[in-house]
Amino acid sequence: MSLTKRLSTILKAKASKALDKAEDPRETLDYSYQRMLEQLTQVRRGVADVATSRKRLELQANQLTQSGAKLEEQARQAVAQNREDLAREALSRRAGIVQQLQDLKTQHDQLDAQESQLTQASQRLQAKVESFRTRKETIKATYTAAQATTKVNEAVSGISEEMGDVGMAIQRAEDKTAQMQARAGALDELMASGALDDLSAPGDHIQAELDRGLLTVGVDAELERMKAELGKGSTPKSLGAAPVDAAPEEAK
Amino acid sequence: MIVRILGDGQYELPENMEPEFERLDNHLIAHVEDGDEEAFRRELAELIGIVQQGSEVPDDDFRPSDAVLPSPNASLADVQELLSEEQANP
Repeated sequence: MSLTKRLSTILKAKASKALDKAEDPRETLDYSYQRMLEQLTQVRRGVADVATSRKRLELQANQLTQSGAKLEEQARQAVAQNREDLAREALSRRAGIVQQLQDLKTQHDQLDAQESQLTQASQRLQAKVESFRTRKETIKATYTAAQATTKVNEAVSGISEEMGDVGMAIQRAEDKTAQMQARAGALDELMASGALDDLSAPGDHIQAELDRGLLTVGVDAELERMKAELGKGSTPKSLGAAPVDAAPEEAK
Repeated sequence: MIVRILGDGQYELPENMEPEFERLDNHLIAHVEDGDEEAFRRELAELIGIVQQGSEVPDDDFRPSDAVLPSPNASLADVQELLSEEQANP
């Protein structure tokens, strides 16, 4: 059997599971309409869930981008202080961040695609629901038992196929969202572990060493300046000596 | 005939295009069975192109489809997964 025939059979099986037929065809119509409304709520919730996951990824990407920029700056400082070891560590952490950012970008694109597919599914279903409501009322108004079953079956089989399709889209989006949440959670843990932090986090030794380096440079410069000043007047002035000598004389 | 593209909607395919549709459709299942991803994606895209030349089935038309195509971005694995449900619900 061809692929499209097999998929058609599979979709029909899914669809008939989604909608049970009642004894009174008019009940089947109402029931189908209810199920469509439920699915519409479901697909809209799906869109919102995907959007939430997408925003979480964006937040993580922003944090990582900031850390990456800071690490680059720290590497520069380290090079300026001739601390190649520190620069190397900063750059290697930055490389880890760049890798994560690339992964995030891929995931973000996938979620984006998922979101637009689901939004389209939601719009299609919305249009079908509205048409179905009109059709349902028409069938009911002109209800004659003889014709009803055929008309109802026609309308319902088309609608259940649509619901089968939308149902699959929802399922795919749910799977993707769950997968993304797991990844985002793992990345949160990685970030919390400090492995991707920039180096100014409290207790981080690199920034501390860079700061100490700056401090040492400052102290050395100060020392040189003082030495130079003192070097002009050859002998050091005896600061405390005079008053000490003076005191006993006064006492005499 | 009416063809549904999963995730995209239903199209009415003109009769004169049906032979070409069926020819490619038969290729497609062969690629799925051979696991030839590249050929599968190429011919799926071609089939979808043909179907989308048909007219979109309006919202107030509730006729079921005669054939169902995978979604345009479906991978070979996606389709194999769908087909595995066939065995689950014979």
